[in-house]
Amino acid sequence: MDICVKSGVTFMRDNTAPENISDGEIVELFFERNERAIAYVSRKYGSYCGTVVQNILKDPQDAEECLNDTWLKAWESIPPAKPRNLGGFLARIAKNISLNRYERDHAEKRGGGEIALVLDELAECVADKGNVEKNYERKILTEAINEFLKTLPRIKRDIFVLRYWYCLSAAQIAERVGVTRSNAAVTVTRTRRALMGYLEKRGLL
Amino acid sequence: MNNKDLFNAINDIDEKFITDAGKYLKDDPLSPYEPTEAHPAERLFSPLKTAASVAAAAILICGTLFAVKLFQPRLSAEPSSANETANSSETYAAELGGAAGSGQTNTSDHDSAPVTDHTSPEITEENFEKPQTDDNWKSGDEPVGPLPFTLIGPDYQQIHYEEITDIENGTSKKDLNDTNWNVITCDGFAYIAPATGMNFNSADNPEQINNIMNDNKFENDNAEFSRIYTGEHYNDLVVDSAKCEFWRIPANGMNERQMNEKGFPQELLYYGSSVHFRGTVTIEAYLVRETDDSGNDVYYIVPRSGAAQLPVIDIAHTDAEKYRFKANTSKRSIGMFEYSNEMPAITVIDDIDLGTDAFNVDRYFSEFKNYLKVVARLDDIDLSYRADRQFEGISASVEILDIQLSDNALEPLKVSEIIDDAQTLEDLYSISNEINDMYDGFGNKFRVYSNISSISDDIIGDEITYGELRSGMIIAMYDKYKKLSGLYTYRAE
Repeated sequence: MDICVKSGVTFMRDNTAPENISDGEIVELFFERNERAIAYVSRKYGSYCGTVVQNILKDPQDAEECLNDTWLKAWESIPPAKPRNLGGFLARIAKNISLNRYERDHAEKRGGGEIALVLDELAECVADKGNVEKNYERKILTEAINEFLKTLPRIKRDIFVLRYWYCLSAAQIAERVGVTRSNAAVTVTRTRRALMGYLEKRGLL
Repeated sequence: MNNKDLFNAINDIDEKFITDAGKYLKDDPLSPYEPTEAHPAERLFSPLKTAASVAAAAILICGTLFAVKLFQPRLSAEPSSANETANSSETYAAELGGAAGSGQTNTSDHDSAPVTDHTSPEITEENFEKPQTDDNWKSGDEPVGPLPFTLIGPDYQQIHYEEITDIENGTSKKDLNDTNWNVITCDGFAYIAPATGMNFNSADNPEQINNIMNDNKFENDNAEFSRIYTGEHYNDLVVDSAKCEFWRIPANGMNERQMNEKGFPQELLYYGSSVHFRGTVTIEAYLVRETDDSGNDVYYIVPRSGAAQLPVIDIAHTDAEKYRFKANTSKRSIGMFEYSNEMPAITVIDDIDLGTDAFNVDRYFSEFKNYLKVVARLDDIDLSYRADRQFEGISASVEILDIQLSDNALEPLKVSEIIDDAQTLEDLYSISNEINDMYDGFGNKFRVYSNISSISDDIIGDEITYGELRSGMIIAMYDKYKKLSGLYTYRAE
């Protein structure tokens, strides 16, 4: 068992944690303030969240730190939060922490990497469109994107999310999903353009 | 709003979408996080984790033992005699409803490829390379020669140590045995089979395609897979990169039920190949347009009958448990266009809108026709096959697209019987009501009429689409000079 103390919380990385422990049981441990919850989430979701972090922060040490911060943030958030979807909850925390780290590291100069590329690609959707009220609520935009994603076939939706949420490169998507790199790239491009059309139709661009 | 706002909005999308897509990252949801000294990239991206490995090892120890038993006689790969070839072709033609008899024979460069009798393409003791022992290791760190356990590709040849470029989980070649690996990669070659020309489609071979679609008889037992190495040629194409993989367990951590559903044998070892070609190939084909669920158009190149120029890479899994590597065949309907090929349609990957950019092809499609006869010069050709594929495996860019306008002249598709007694519009007016004008992609104008009695009021005045045509409607066809060229009644099939 590895032990890591961070912000007063002792993390136990327990590789003997039961493999079949459910998300509900882990959340209960959080509520009981049982530190084994950390050990269990790191065992169950370490690889998954690690991938999320690693795609934003290329530096392994930064990624490792962000992953630890993710468990800490989960520890601080649950309770009161009671996530129904623990994996998604943790992935979102991991991503937000990594983005904050990325922004901090790139405050003065926007560097390379997938985040920069993703931002560049998304700029196409909004370029030269000045007809949107500046204070348009992000929530409305997110809702529209959610609606758009519902219209997509599952595989295309997953590819889009892998690109623009998980920030995977076309090559990584190809490898993960089992398509050619070209297929992945074309699917991303077409879906992005379809999103642009969808948002335009709804007056959001 | 700027791109950052959009990025942030996407960041807040429904968690369901995140976890759905996240499944591609979590090869095993119970995979342990191991904060060790191992390279983080290995840890974070390692697709196969301990839990899956343990389970797989148990399955595959049994599977490998069973496999050894299966590696019995392999048929000689000598080319068959001319008679055998002829017999094989005849049988084939009969199955396909007389394709050979009607002159629809293959004209591709690979007609002359030796046809191997694959009635029992298994491995014989004498042909199967003996696993190596410690004695035939070369001096030095890296062993050479055939692996000490059975690992063969679709060419029925044993994999050698020196062909392996990667072993997942970092097992060294020296320590490699039949149970301590998950994925073996051989970068540098792939398995392909020459095309035999088995391409049928509803435009060129309407009778055969009907038989194929209805009788479900379309197989290619004659495909003979062999290796193609980086730098080698396939016709005018040069292999830019080639790779193949062997898996001890199926992809994506499928459980036994999922494996059975997909027809995977438990002992699946050959997992897939990919090849990227440099160079161009010119192909007589149909450009077929498919509009997907989201309204986006996807274009496919389907080779015309006998015009296959690219090799076959897809394996059918049905007999894989016997280590018979049979070529997979496609059978598919894209709108009104049906085809059945020994290789899937080629997905056009150009990141362009074919309708408005370089080729401007959309104007040639019509409500009546979602395919065009073309000669296409393709480049950036990518062939890939993976046992768990979700996409068809050939994609290419279109460098030049020559649309054969004369061949695409609109035929009275599903429209028949010129009305002899209604030669003028005035005659038509006397028996019908006008509904709408329609145009095809060639400037021909349709005017659709209908007998009053056969059309309901709610359709009149609406835009007519092909699917709304009903038997009994009368269609006036105009040419591009607005001259009435014919009157037809529509007959539903």
